[in-house]
Amino acid sequence: MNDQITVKQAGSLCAISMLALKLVTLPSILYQQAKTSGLISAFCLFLIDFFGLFLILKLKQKFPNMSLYELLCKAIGKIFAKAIYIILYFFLLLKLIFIINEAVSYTQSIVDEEFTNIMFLMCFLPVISAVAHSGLKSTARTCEVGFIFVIFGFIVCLFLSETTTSFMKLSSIFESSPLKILSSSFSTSIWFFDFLFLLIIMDKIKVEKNLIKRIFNLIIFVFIILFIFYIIYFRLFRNTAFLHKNAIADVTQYNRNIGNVGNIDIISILVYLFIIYFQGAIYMSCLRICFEKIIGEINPTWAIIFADIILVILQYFIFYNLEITINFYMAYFKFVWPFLWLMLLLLFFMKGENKNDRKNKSHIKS
Amino acid sequence: MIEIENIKKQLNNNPDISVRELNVSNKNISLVFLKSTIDKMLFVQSVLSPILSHKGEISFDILQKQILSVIDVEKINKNYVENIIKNKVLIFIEGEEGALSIDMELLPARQPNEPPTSPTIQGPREGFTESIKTNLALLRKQCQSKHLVIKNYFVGALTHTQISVVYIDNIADKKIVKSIIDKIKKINTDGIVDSHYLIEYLSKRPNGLFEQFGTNEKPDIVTAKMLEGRVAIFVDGTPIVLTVPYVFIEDLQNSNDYYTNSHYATFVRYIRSFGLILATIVPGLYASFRLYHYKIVPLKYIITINATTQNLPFTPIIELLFILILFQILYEVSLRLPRYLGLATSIVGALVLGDTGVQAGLISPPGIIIIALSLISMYTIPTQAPQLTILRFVFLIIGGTLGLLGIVGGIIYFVNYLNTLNEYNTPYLAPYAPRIKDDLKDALHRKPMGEMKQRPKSIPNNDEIRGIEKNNE
Repeated sequence: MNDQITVKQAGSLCAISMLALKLVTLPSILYQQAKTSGLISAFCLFLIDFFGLFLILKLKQKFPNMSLYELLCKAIGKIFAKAIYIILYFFLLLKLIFIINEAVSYTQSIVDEEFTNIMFLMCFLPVISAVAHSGLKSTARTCEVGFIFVIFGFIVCLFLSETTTSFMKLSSIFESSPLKILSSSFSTSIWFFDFLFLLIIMDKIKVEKNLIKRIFNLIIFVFIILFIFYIIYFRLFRNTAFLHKNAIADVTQYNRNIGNVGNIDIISILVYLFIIYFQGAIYMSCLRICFEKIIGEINPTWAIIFADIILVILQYFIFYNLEITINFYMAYFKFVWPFLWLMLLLLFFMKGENKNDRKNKSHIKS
Repeated sequence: MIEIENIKKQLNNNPDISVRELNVSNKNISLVFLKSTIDKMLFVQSVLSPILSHKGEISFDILQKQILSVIDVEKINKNYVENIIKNKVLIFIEGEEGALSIDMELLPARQPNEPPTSPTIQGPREGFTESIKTNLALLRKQCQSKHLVIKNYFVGALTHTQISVVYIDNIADKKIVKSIIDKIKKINTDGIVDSHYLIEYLSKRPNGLFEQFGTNEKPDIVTAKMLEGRVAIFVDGTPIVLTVPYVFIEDLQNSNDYYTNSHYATFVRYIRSFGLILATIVPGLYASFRLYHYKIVPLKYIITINATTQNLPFTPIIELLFILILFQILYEVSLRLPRYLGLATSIVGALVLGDTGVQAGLISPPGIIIIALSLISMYTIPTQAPQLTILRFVFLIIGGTLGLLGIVGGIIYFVNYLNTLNEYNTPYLAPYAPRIKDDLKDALHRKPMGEMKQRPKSIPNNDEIRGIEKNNE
């Protein structure tokens, strides 16, 4: 297949997706919901996400050459498969809108206060659309090369952040009751579920050795860095954490002066902007693939234009600011994710692809 | 002879056609050649004198085997005109069919000097010339292998330019060689004057911003590239030799890197890549910081910059565009003017326009510093100078209108564009995208030669391991 990506590239896509929604508002929302115990909520959600990723990768190993669409057709028929693809399409679209809203809010408060929604979309949409239009292979390669700089920049941000105060006592993370932690996990689940896009591109990942191990190595590495970032954030802001809604920028604004230069928070801004562009491109590629499955063979340009139009309409008329978006998502998303888990488990327990199936499939492809 | 009259007619009776009529042993012999392109000394010594001093019977057979036995002589029965155009001397004997063709070519050519585009500090200084024969000889000198393959093609309905496809048989990928040869065979044009003409015929994306062909002027570089599995394409009349496949990282590499300490080579490569960033995005970043994101710039810098820019009549983007266009005009002028006038333009550019512009308050010193920094940095990678010039303008406009968000978007767009380039099955950004671990030994980081035991995997080749000769027979 011409549009196949390597395991490393798939790992980079997952790592970027893991970072995209967790660097700005999430830490302050976690604090609002469960004080410093928000760290436990985040940890639980990460574990659930990792389990989801594990299931998806196992599914890939079980059905190495089959796409999600083929699997769904086999399990529940073509019509229901299309219906699930429509749900996935809107799930990704809403996630993308969430990312855009967070990014707009971040840009307005940190980069340029006169930046409007439309100006942001004018910068953002053409780039992610062009990247998605070029195909998954080049998108994955771009993310692969960009990920190195992004993660390096993120680590630099952590080093630059204030680390002179004493390390937070572990006991202070049990401030809230288990029920509060559980409810906080429920309400913030929209910030998670980052690996679901992998389902849509699972047939495009090359079958290579140690698939699960290699992806998980990268993901756990990013998880550790992200968790260190959360610990630094909670330790830095403590009781005022709920006020700091641009976590990555606020953490680096309290950095030391390096070489008498002054604050180098430009690094955190660049890291975040790169991440949201990459994430936007990944989701746009998946939206394109979803649309092609729902409608049938179609010119990718039309699939992308359609996604752009829907996105602009939703973003401009319904989710026009971050507060509305967060309230909506926190209220309704908790009803969506059990359905997504159900689908994932259903697919996982399907009967594996046997050798004859594989042979027939490769014969048809050739 | 009717044949000779025909030849003269076909060659438009040009004044440089020479016909020498001789009578040896009562037989008329005619020698036809272009007097402007043959080695006259060799002609007299090796052809004319032996024929004139011969006593006895004369025929093509005797000429070939006895009189002219020390030089290469070929018997031909057709294509007389084509042979003369290729600077050969034709010998006709009255009453005998056909002619003898002797290669006596001597074209004006310069000596292999150090090329201006790739000077070396410590390393071979010989460079290619405009003569394909000299160039192939220089290559042979560097690469004395029985596996070296040279395939000649003549392209151009009017110029009949010789193109040589050169590769090492047991290393180069056969599919790539075939693809190049097929494309060369399909070229239908009046003439190929330079190897850059070929790029547009051999490229998948002739309109692309980035060319996926290496241009080299030194035999040591071409040999090193062929040893990695690349194919070299020589074109007669130009010292520029093309190599394919080509990856972006080659722009950051230089032959000097291999003639010096590997640590220093690595350091210099990082400096070059930093130069690439400075050359492309610094003017755009400066414009975006001054226009939109002054909060990001540390306070001390803001104060310094403001002190010199507060009375400027133009916005930063207009100011920088003005300086950039001015530089581009000066650059074009300096390329085309004779050298003694070039000095005058430099004075006008630097003193009159630069210094006076600052004193008059039309342009600011930080603006000039930013543009100068960007322009100087561009020449850390001279092969990419045209592309970087365009990108600099693009990023300046993006940065001045959309700010930092636009610049980041622009970077991602162009990196993605580079990732779509896959000429001759070679990803342009390899070994970084896709990441090929083994090839990182000679990417930005250069390891010692002894550790590079494998050929680059990003360049398709038939033999992965260096140094072991395989028997292909």
